[in-house]
Amino acid sequence: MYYEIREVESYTLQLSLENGKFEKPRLSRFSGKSFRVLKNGFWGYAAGDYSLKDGLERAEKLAIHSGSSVIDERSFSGKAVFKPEKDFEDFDVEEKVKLLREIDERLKADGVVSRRAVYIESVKRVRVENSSGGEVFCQVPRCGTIIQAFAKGRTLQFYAERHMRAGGYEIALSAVDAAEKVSKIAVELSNAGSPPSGKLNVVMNPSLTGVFIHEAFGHAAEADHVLQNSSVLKGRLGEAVADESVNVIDDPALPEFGYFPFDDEGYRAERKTIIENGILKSFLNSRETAKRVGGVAGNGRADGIEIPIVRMSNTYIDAGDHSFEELLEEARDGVLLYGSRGGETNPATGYFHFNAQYGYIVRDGEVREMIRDVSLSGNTLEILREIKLGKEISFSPGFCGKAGQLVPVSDGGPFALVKAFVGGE
Amino acid sequence: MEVNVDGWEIYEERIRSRYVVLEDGKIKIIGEKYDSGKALRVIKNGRCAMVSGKVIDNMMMERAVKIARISEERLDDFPARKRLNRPRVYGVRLDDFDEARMKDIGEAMETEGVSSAYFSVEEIVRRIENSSGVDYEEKESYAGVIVEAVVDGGNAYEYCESRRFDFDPEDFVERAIELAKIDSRAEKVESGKYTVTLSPIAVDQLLTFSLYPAFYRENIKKGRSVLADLMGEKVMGELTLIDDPVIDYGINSCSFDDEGVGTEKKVLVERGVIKGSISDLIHSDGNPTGNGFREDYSSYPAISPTNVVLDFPETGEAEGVYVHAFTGAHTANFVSGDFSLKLMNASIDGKGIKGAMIYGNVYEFLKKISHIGKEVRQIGYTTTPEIVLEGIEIKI
Repeated sequence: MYYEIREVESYTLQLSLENGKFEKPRLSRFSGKSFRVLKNGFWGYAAGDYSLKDGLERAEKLAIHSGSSVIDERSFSGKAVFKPEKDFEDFDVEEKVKLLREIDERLKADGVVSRRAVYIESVKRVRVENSSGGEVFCQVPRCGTIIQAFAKGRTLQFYAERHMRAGGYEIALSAVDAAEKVSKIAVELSNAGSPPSGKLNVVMNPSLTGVFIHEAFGHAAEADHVLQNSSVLKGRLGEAVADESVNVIDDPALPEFGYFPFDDEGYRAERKTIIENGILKSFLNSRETAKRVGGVAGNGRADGIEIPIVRMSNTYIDAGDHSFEELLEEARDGVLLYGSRGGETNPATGYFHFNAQYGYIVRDGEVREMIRDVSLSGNTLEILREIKLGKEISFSPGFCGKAGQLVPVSDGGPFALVKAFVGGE
Repeated sequence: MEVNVDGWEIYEERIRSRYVVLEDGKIKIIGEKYDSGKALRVIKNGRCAMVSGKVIDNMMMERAVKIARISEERLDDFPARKRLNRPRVYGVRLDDFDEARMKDIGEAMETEGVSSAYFSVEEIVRRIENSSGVDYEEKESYAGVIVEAVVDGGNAYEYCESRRFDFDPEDFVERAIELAKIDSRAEKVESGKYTVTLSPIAVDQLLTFSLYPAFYRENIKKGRSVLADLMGEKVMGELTLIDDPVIDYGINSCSFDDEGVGTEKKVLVERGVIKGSISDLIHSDGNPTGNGFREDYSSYPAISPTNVVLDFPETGEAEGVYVHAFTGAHTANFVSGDFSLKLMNASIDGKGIKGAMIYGNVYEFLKKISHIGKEVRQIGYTTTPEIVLEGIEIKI
């Protein structure tokens, strides 16, 4: 029998300024325990308000069946506390609201009808022990801002930016300068026209490239999807799945929003190469999928005291050797798209669909008029075979939802040229 | 309350649930969760703040008061006690679903082609108490199933949620597998204008993300809703939408919202004419509609619909392209009503359609309804039969 006990504590402070008004201040603390037992290849899982003894007993009772689950029982011990540059405990609430006021002032512009600035700080502490003798503890602070503007022109539109990472108050301080850009784009967007539609040359900015590699490819590389027969990558380890310029990496050790030193199964987190020079090298794994599919565990993550499942951390497509100008020149006619308003993907087929935040027409290799409400869709593996990559990568933070659980992640990449289906009204 | 405040409110949630998980056609996990938490809101000089946790100790109370002093969240008082409508919301007992029964239910769902499935039973007790004399408690229940199927490269999902155990989880396994089989043989159709039938799942996905937020008084006040200028005008054909939280066993039915406001039925759209909006306490200007809900005890109350009942004068049969669900519904722009959606498990004459998209604007779209079906199903926030629309542009 294998067992695991996890104790989670978290703290979150969220402060919002809506049109200059300090609204919905919210401070929350959470604590909870989860217990899981693997017996005769079957899992019992109990979570919530149990004592250490009762929780384990309950989890064992729930494991009443038999099954084929097996796991990597390797034990790790250690304590990892992420030290921020500027501890947010050292700054009082008034100061944080003052920072939001500065952002709000800078958001004001002709055409902007509504403004929103949000400050978030959180700390997550997790202790995991297991029947193999492993015991790990980690503490990760995260901080940042969300800045949003709504503008009314020919249509009502919005644009938002998130600046969040593992770390302290320094992250929020560095985000202030983004405000003018946010309102400028929202205003331009409210007067932008509809996009063309059809299969077009698309230059994606780093943020959209990041969303693409996370949503459209990364989920299919999660080994639980492979076990559920719902990954287009099943059975393709060692095969070329992308152009040889493509390298895809998941690295929880980067101090981005998806940072963690040990995962929620008490396994040491480390950098994973998913695609190397176009070849599919490995899947992302939990303790169970690593044993069943092959590979290294360390990507088992949970939202609070939910069941850990295979998740990404900081996932990126590495830089290539094209300059931005070369990508535009190569595209000639098409669109240049920025950011994402979210998307959806089907890891079973490799189909993806997401909406960009805004974009521009590209004509004769030049960036022309702005376009709004642009969607982008296509087949991931077809696109990866013909992708051309820019020289510099950057990361964007987000919350990734899977099986009803949200975890902080970041996605990264360079400017990239692809051929994909673009649509609008 | 021992702290010096002008008003206070304590919201408490206790959840007990048990579930069974299937993976690759086999039962894999039986789990349970006993969780609880509290949230305290305080009003100091007309200013409001909130703290939450497992327990609210003195330190948390002090932090709440400190934040409230500088908050600009204006609230004069919490709602007073009132006689409540009491819809039935408790229809399944968790104690009747021990691990042995969960195993039996899970085993009955074991079928080749089920990539993952989840069946759960949940009991929730919500309690709210405030300084204006409110002290309400309500016990509610849910049973639900979600199934994802993959067959020969085709895939599909089906789900069901109910206040009672009044469905057979195996039916949803069968439906998901059938849809996945159709998907595995899907072919492209010509782009063009089609008559389209949306399933209740597709209707809920479309309206939840592109339309309902436009009825939120917060969005109307903040210039984020096109409905602000359309009150009293006929802009949605013959469609009627009613937010009805007092239907017996409605998935989102309740006697009071998560701010202690009694719930009641509200007409949002009547035969195409925009009639109403929904609100939480903060954005209500003294006239809350009982639509302030918390995602969980730690979330700030926010506006949400309950059970939106859709009606239309003409009924008939499904026609043309049948759309089971959409992909990408949450990317819709509720501010403008624009959306671009991929059809998921769409079919025409029983044959699957591959890679089709619909682009449009929800307000234009709803004018094209020709009739609705007869069998009503509640999915998410929407209680609706199938709806049939004419002249919808499908692009491949």
